[in-house]
Amino acid sequence: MAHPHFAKNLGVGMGLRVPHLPTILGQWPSVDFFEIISENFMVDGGPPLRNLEHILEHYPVVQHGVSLSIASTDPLDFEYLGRLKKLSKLTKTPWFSDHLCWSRTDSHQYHDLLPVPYTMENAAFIADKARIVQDFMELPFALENLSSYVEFVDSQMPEWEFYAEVVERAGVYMMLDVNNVFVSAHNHGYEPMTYLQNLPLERVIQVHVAGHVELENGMFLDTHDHHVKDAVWELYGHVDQQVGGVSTILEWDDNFLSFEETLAEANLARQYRHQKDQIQTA
Amino acid sequence: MPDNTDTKKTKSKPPEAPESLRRLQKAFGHSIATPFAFGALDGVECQVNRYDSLAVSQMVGRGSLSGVERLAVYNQQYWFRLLTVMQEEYPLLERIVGVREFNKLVTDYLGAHPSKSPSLRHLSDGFVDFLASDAAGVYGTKMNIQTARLEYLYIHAFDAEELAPLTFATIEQAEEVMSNPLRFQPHLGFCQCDWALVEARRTVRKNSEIKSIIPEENTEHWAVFRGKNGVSSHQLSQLQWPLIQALSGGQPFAEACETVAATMERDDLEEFSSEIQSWFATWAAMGWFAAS
Repeated sequence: MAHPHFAKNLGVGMGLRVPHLPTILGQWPSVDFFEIISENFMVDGGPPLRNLEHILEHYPVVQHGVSLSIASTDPLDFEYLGRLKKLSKLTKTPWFSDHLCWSRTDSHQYHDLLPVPYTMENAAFIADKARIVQDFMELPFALENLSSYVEFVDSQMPEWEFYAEVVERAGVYMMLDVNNVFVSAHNHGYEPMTYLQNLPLERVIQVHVAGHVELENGMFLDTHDHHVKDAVWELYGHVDQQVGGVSTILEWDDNFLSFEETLAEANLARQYRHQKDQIQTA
Repeated sequence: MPDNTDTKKTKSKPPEAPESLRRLQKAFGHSIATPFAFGALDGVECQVNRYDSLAVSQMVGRGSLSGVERLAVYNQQYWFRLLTVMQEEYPLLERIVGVREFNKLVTDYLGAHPSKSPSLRHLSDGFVDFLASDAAGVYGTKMNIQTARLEYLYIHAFDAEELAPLTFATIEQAEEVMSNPLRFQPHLGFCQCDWALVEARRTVRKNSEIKSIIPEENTEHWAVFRGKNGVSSHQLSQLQWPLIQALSGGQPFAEACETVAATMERDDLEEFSSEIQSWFATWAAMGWFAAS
């Protein structure tokens, strides 16, 4: 499968999180790369930027955002994009990603990743915005699939068709979250493999894995605070095989484990990878 | 550069938002920001009957869950996320008013001041002003306002801008500095408290088991700033406080000293005169002053 020429396989890494900073900054453990939440570093000063500058001396870093709100009917926020671009000059991220979702409307920020009905009209609208963002940033832009909990009466196609339509129309890429595929498949009653088999996987430039929980009402909730389920690892192995090896990040955002335990969880990915690479140790 | 050669369609004009999507997002947003109903005890409940009818009509039920129940997942997540952030940023205020009342207060605040920033760091930018306004009702007590003001200084200091520090190598430069208004670092803030709020805050942050606290009455003045090892607080004396206020008001150092000295009793004046150089040196060493 042809892979975008810029999308070097960076290996297996983890999301950079504050509880792990003492270990990282004190011991410089062996990690292929880190992913940062861009918004945490789009600040005027202080420890976040100072720590990031140290980390950039030792590791590749990729940027992942949560607030672009590409699917919002509000206009693109170029003040936000300007700060994002400024950060990308510092990090030298090879690409940047955010979610195929909306987070604000009428300037009200909901701080969540919210879905839209899967219609051709919405796909075209979002694709137009995604192309503008990629051109503005002068970097490859990858959109991430959501975990979702609702379905809309107005949807005209399954999620995978919508996702593919947006990225192909826009000429952007995929940040494929295999846990989100698994969670949404459970919540909406389809087979996760059907989702994967109908995606243009040649557009996948990075993958996320994470844990989720089951709510009392039976829904799966994407919480990033549990171990990755075996079924999700199996899906990950399939994607990595199909793509021919892909940069992979473990997301863990609450009920934190130690740095060593988190890295060990991320390194489980190596057991499922297309090209077996050496296990990294902390 | 991105490879766009296989792009299906190219155009650069700003896209027109679909009207149906605009209406849906407004309705969906209104629904998920619907406040919880606060029960008699600690429990909260989604008020699904207050969701926007357009949003509800768009939801598809599946399995044992109705469309509205699915929409409620987002409603719960919205409030859990924002209430948690505020509890973490205002640990002392939460213990003073109690968690249930704190959540009600934050719900009122965010209802009046919905978040406008992509970053949660700015979630409480209007919180102190809200508490000081009539809208805060019974929550707007002097202690609550002072506590919120102090805790906001810690939030602000964490990642506010840092300018080049003030330095002067010669007497001439020092004289110039003294004859012009001093510029404080943007991350530095000051507050006066009528209770021992800093100590109370340290106590509740050290011990998460403490669910309630009543700070002791005590007039204190504090500077909160970002030092080499993170955000710090530094207590200012009764004599230092008017000088800091004069400097904050834009008076040059020499003029500020004269203004403050003119209001002092003889004993205080002697202490003020003998200590002022060391105060200035201490504040400068803590990195409070920025180059103009």
